[in-house]
Amino acid sequence: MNIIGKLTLRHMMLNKKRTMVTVIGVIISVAMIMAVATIAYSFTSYLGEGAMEKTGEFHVVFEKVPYENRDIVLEGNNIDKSFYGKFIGDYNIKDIIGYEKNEREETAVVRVIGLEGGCFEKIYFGDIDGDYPANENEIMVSAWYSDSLNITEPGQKITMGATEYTVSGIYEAIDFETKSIDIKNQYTYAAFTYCSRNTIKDGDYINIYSKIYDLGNDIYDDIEEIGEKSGCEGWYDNKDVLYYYGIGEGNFGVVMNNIKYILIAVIMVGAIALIANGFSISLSERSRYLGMLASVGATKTQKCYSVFFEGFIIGIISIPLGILSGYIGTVITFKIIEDKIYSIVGADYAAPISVDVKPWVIIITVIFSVLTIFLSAYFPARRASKITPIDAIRQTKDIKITGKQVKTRKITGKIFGFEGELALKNLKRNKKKYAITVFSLAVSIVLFLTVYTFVYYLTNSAEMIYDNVNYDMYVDIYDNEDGTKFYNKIKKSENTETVSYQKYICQISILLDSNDSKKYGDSSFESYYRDFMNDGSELENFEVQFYNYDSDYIAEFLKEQGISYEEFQADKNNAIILNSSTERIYDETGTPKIYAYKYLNCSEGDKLTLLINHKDEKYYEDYYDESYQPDFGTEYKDEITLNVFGLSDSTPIGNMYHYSYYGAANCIPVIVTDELFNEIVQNAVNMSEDDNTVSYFVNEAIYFEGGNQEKLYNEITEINEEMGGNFWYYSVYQQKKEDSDMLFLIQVFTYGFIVLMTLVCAANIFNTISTSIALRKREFATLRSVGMTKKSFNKMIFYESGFYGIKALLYGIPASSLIIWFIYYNISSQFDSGFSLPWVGIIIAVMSVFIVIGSSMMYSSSKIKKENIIDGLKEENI
Amino acid sequence: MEILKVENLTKTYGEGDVLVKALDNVSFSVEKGEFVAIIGPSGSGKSTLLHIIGGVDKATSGKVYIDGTDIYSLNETNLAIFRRRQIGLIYQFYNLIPVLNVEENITLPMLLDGKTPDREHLDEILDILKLKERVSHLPNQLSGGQQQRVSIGRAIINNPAIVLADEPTGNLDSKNSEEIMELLKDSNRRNNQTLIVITHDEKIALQADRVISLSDGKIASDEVIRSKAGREVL
Repeated sequence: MNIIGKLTLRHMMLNKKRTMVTVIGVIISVAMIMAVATIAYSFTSYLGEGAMEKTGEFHVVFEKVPYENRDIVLEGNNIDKSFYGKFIGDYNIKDIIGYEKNEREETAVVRVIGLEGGCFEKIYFGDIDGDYPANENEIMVSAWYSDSLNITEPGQKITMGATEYTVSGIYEAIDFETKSIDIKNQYTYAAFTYCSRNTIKDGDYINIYSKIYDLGNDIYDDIEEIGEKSGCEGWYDNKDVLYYYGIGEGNFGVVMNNIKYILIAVIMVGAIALIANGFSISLSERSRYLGMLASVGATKTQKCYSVFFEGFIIGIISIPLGILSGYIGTVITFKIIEDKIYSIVGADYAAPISVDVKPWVIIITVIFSVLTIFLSAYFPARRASKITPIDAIRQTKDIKITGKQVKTRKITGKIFGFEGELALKNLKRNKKKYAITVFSLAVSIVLFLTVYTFVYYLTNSAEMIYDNVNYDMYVDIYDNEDGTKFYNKIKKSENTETVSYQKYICQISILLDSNDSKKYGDSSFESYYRDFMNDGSELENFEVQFYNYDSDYIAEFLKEQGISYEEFQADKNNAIILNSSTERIYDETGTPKIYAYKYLNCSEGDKLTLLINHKDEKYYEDYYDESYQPDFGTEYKDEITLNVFGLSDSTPIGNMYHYSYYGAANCIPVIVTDELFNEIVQNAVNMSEDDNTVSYFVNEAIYFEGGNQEKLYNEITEINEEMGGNFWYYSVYQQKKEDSDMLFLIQVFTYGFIVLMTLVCAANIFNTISTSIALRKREFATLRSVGMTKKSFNKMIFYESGFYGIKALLYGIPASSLIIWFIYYNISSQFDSGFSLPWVGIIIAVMSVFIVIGSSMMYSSSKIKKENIIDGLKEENI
Repeated sequence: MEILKVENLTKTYGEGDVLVKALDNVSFSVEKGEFVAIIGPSGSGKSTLLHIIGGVDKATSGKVYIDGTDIYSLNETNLAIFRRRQIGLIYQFYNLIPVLNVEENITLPMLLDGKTPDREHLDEILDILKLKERVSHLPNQLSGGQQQRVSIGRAIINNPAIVLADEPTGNLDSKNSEEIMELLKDSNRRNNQTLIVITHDEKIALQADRVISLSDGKIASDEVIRSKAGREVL
């Protein structure tokens, strides 16, 4: 090692603490770059592999390649593993079945391909009704076009060309039967038979399914060239897989790549700020001996070398450790989040996500890390090369200040006292350092607040979806008979606490008489209605929705309200008004307002007159016409009088529709007796038999709440299968869990990123502040020698920290507000929430800023305070 | 009137075999208005003595009374306040605050006290120091002699009981040295200010009323060259 290297090394050892802080900062940065590259690659390949499982083990298919040209493809540039099958022939559907079935398939052909045994597993066929073909006389067709061939089950015979095939299986996948449309500009469906590879000879044609080595956007150049040379009929790519690698259509991979490079760029900016600062600090400390070396004949290059050597040492230590800790960090993170990822995207995938590190991931990390360190060293090195012996003697480089630069306003002194003024002057003396510190703080604030808000919006809107959802699972019932069966099977289940079988009538309009509407309408509802409609329209009538529940559930529900079920059912016209509701409405600025209101201001025993219209043709015809306002006055035929038997502020489980068909929020949910409910349904049935303009239906669903939802889900799945699999069921609980898992994932990654980024930034600030204080040792000693008390000194340090923080917040908070607003503006359509500044986040940011600065200041100044004034005075300025 | 009294000052560094006695039982006292030069070879303990008198360093044993106050009986805060009001220190390398301009550097002890400097008094000092044209310059825009004049200003602004100067001309050429010494003597005479100067320069020592010579931490000689009264006659 030459003398300059030795000196540099010794200097670094002498300033162990700062060197360590820099090294740790660089390790974190390298680890982050590594983690970003690894995670991006692992996700890409996980999703890509997953997509492959759902399509097939190939990226591209070359159709009808002359067999003698096969090596052009198999050995082609960038072609990894391939498999192939024999092209047997194209057969017109018309020719196969002997007549023209429909227009669409006029020109459609079935392309038969012969595959060897093992190759069938490499293509995804979905569920197969039957088996793979076992010999040349068996064929597998797709459910997608089997109807066109009049094939309904395996075992049927079909003749194509000269061969009579037995259908061995009908496969489900619909994805690539039509892929060759692009090639022949006609519907081409794929059917598969068995064909041993040994029987293929020159003159035959084959379909080659190939994987590609290097998945980049330039793969099409290679494919195009190979395709042309091989003389194939055409080729198509496996878009579903390539999508994840950012190739071809769709932008998933592109987005992924962009995110990756943006993150790496952000990390690099933070890291460069840290390292460059560390280098320039250590350079100014070394300028004296560099000057001395210059005086004895060190060249520019040698002086430059000193800085690059420091970078080299830091890199040698930090890069391997960074890569290692980045890898370990990713492995640990993946271990923690594995289940959650699996629960969100993995349900269809066989393997859980794993950390996938390819050599090029490490190479990328090293390249970016070296680049970072090089860029950081470049400017300090140039400065080093310009150090002259005179600079070393005079030490003037660092203290070139002009009066203007450190000028402060009179008001500063008035407000903060002399100590405050001195503090501000101290900050202003080195504008660059001040700017770097403020900048890195501000960037951290912006990053944190942006991410905080993003997560906040996500959480908020995820929660909002479940406003007014008071159940965990439901099963939709399309047929009353089946529904009742289902209900009877599940109602005794141990896996749920509550079951309700809810029915209500759709598309029959029931109106509360306008006199009663006026008489009983509650004022709380009226104000809600006005804001809801937001067009000046006043409430004229209430609509009414009739609900009916199974006796077990409703008896229990009524009991809780202090209402007797038996007495309620005793009179047909008894009704329970579900009188309370809560809704969230957004004003023009998007600010949510919660309304809790009551519909009616009536009491038990009051009579309500209802008008029922079974058929309002115009009403249903113009159902989708927004401008349509139904004219209820004349059309209502039936009239019933309801007896208000009870008013309930709580609501039974299940969805309640508070909106009329034309979107007004004036629909009162009412529980009616079984007798009345059935009578109205029966009337509708009778009328629809007379006249098919009546299109009423009864909406039925079973709702569940509480208990073991996962077991319940399995139980329901079993019952569904038992009963023919026609029920549609949905687990809110599962969805909520998936949503919260997703949120958790986002939080892990984003907060992990922010915390690490903040650490790098904090390391930088620590270095800057502690050095700037260390450099001023002599000044502090002078101040103390002319009689500055400890209290004054602390005050000055306090103000210095404070000004740093305030300045950073002054830039950081408006900048983040702008970005937050920008994000909000762009995604507000998806996030159904109003714009507001994240105050909690801002408070956290403010506190963190002051903690980072304050502790750096306190740490560095405590050392100085302990020091003897004399030692401080003797201290050379550098 | 006795303004400074030093009693049995001892200052040691290290311990055991490497024990170094920088000051060894030094005692003397100085009258108000006296101009004392302290001379001696390097390492004789001159600077240590000055720093201890100035309240910036602590003796191992012994006492320092300034204007009757035992300065080391004061707590840290009170000592700092005492320093800013009663002691003016001048260093060889000026030790000015680089971010403060000439006026602010001079008035620093007052600013620390939260006082507004008396304009007339300040103008007078600036006048004497010939710094009127340079009030808003920063230290790095001044020559060495100018910087030292600023540090004199800072030392005398509060009319302290005692001004201590550690080789005030050590870093200056002869013309500037003369000027600085004239200023110090002038202040000494004009305000009857006590002045203690450490120097290597025999010419400077000979200008003093009294010369104390230190050797190996002990007073080797203490000669009165001329009495205060006599000087006034001269």
